[in-house]
Amino acid sequence: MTTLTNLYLIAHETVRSARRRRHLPVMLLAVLASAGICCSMEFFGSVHYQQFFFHIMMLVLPLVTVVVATLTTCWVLPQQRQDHTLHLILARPVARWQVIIGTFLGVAVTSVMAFFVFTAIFLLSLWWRAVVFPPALLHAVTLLLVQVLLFNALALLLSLLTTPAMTAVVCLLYYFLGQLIQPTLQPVLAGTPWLVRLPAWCAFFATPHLNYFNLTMPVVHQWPAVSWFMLVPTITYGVGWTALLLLAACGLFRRCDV
Amino acid sequence: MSEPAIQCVDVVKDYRGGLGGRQAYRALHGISLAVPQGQVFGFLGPNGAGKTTALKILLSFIRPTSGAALLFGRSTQEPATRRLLGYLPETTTYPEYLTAREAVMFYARLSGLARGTAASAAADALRTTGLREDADRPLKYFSKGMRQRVGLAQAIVHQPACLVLDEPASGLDPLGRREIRELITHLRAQGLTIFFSSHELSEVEAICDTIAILHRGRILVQGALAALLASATEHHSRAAALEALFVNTIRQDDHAHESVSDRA
Repeated sequence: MTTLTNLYLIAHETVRSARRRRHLPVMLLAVLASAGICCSMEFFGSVHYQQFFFHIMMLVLPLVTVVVATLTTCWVLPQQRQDHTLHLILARPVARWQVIIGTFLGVAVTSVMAFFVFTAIFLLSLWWRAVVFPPALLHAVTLLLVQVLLFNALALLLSLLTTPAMTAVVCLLYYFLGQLIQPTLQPVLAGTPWLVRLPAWCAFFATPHLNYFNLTMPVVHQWPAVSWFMLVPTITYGVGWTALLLLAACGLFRRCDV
Repeated sequence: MSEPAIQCVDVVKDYRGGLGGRQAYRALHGISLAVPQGQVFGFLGPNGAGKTTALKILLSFIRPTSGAALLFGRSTQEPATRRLLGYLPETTTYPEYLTAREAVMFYARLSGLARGTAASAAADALRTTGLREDADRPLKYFSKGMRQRVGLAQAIVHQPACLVLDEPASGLDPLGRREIRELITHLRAQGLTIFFSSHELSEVEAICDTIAILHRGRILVQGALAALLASATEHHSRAAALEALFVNTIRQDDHAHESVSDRA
């Protein structure tokens, strides 16, 4: 019970402070501007217009939500360390893993709330322009949500190792490079000398493959949705990586000097 | 004899740097100290002496390279032990959107108090620290002295057995210092053990029962303040005696250190 209370208190306080960060209104404006521009367009035929709209949506929504997840997370622990409020928490009967998990829950709630607001803006724009919702849209949104949690965990781990600015840069670089890992390394793994294959194997298995969470093509081209059963391995993959990154953060924070 | 409230046993701390952590800087050279229950202990030392490192080890913010810090005989690395502890850092920037009551309530609940108990405990702590009238004002409107009193309120809200205060009067005007001193005296009267780190010798002289002087990571002098001042007061007033003791101890150690360096 005490553990749950501590997690709730830390998460609640994290949400309260994260809500006041300036990047949230900026990102909201970016989403409103993107959706507004899409809505105001009148050229192309209806099919092309829809594809254009979905392209923009599947470009802006993941990027903006990853930026929100990263910027919301990367400041929390460094800021608390600088303000000495982290010391006040750790001087209480609070285990260090509770600080990590509580903080993660707080930033996850904030990021997910922002994600739902941004998604709702795009969906409302689609509805307003009477665009037919693609069958894979819900799948795509679900996978993007998992990706947001993954980036929360990644940014939390990196924030223990480096500065907030560097955390943000690494996360955003990874957002772009992570899409390429699986398609680039998969061919290398087969039919190359083991000396080349070994580092490729390491890179392949030591990093989450972000292309698994990208359903842009099925959404843009209105492909039929796969069954939810087919989606379970991808969701498990994302949640598993999130848990692994959190475990690493807990282990690191347990040993680090604050 | 009862168990010491705070005990440091041969605590060594090395900070590692350079490539692969090959260069080590020893911040604490095996310090040992014991603070009896119910006493106010003054932890003195010039800047860079290792006071903050020792405090951080005591509060389990950092791990000692060897040795142990104990609170009532239990390691402070265990979260449950820290229920007995209240801590006031030298400076804290509380979230400005919180009111004093919300901030104190938050730390009360983290200390394991239930919501209802925490509310009444926070009200008591704010009354004790003279913030009852301002309890529901956001902290952004508080002066430095008032924020320091909020810090003291969060430190005592869960009725700890031991208080660790790091420069509690730092940056305060004479009135603020006096208020903090009166509060500490009030808390001592309630039986709390207080570990008091400070540069302000007048404060230490006014409220401490025992002291330790730390320099270059070693404890040079430790004992009851009255006994340590007894010889010094032959030549100085009591107020100046502690300053003389502090300065002479540091200078002798510096001199000894220089002699050793010259010989090397």
